[in-house]
Amino acid sequence: MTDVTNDLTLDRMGGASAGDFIELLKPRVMSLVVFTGLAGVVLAPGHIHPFLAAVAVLCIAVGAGASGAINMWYDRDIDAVMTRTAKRPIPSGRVEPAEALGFGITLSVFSVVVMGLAVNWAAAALLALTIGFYVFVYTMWLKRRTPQNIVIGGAAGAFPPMIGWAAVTGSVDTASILLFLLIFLWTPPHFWALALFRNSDYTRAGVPMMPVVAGERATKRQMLAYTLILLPVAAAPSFVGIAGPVYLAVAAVLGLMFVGCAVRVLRAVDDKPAKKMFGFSILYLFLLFAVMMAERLAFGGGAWW
Amino acid sequence: MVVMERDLSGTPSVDANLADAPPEEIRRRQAAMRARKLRSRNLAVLFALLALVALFYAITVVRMSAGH
Repeated sequence: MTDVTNDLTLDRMGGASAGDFIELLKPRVMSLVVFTGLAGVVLAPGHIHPFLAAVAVLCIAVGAGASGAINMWYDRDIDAVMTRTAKRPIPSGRVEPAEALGFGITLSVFSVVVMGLAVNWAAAALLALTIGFYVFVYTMWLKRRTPQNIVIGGAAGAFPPMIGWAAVTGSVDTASILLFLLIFLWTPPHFWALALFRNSDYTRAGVPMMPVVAGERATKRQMLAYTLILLPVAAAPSFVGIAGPVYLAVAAVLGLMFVGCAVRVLRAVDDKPAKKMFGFSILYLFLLFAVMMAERLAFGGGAWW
Repeated sequence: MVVMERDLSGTPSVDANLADAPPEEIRRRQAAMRARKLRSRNLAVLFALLALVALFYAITVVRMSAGH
C-alpha cells in the first residue's frame, strides 16, 4: 500500500509545468518593477535606442523575477505555513527547491550579463546590486531577524527606476535617487498595511513583521509618519526637472489621500481601512509614475527625443 | 489518504475518478500526464532558446548600426 501511494504521488507530480516556473517569477510584483523601471528610462535625460530600452526593461523584469525565485527557494519553509503563500510552486510540491534555485541563479546571471552587453555596465552593476540586496540582505539576513526588514529591504524594490535611468545616462544622478527615495519611503506603509490584515499569517510563520513585534498601534503610527515624510519627497521631482506642475498637483492630492488612509487606519478597530490603504498604495505609486511619464512624453525632454 | 493530504498542487486531478480503477490504468494516465508536462516544458525551453538567439542577433545589429 505504501509503495503504491508513493508511486502515485510521484506520478501525480510529473515534474513542473512551464507555468509553475513563471509563477516562481512573481509576475504581479514584476509588473510594478517593470513599470517603475520603464519610468526611469522615460524620465532620464539623453537618448537610448528604443530596442535597447526594451532590452533594459526586459533585463530589469527578468532580474526581479529571478530574485523572486531565489526568495521562494529560501523561504519555502515559512511559505508552507502561511495561507497567502502555501500554494506557491515549492511548498505545494510542484517545483523542486533545487530547480527553483538553479532557475533563479541562471536568470540572475543572464539578466545582468545581457544588461551589461546590450545597454551599459553601470545599469548592469545596479541590477546585480538589486538582486544581491533582495536575496542576501532582505531575504537571508533581515526578513527573519528584525521588524525593520521591509524598511531596509524595501531598497531592493526601489532600485528599478535608478536602473532604468542608468540605462540611458550610464550614471546615478540626484533625480534618480529621488525616484529611489519615492519607492523606498512608500514601501513601509504599503507592506505594513498588508501585514496588518495578514498578521496571523506572519505570526504563525515567525516572521517579525512590525505589527507582530511592536503591535498594531505602533505600526499604524509609523505608517502615518512615513506617509507624511512621503508628501515632500513625492513632490520633489517637480523641483529637479523631471516632472512639471501637473505632476506636482497630482502628487499633492494623492499624497494627502494617502495620509488620509493612514489616519483612518490609525483610528480603525478592524481590518477594512488597512485593506483599502493597501489597495490605494498600489494605485498611488502607479499614478505618480504614470503622470510623471505622461507629462514627460507630452512636453518632451526625455530619452525619446 | 496520504495522497489526498499532500495534494496541494492545484493541478488538474487526472485520477479524480480513479479511486476504483486498476493500478495499471492509474499508471497509464499518470504517465500520459507526465509526458504532457514534459512536452510543454521542452517547448518552453525551445522557445526560450530561440528567443535568446533572436535577442542577441537584434542587440548586435542595433549596437553595430548605432556605432557602439
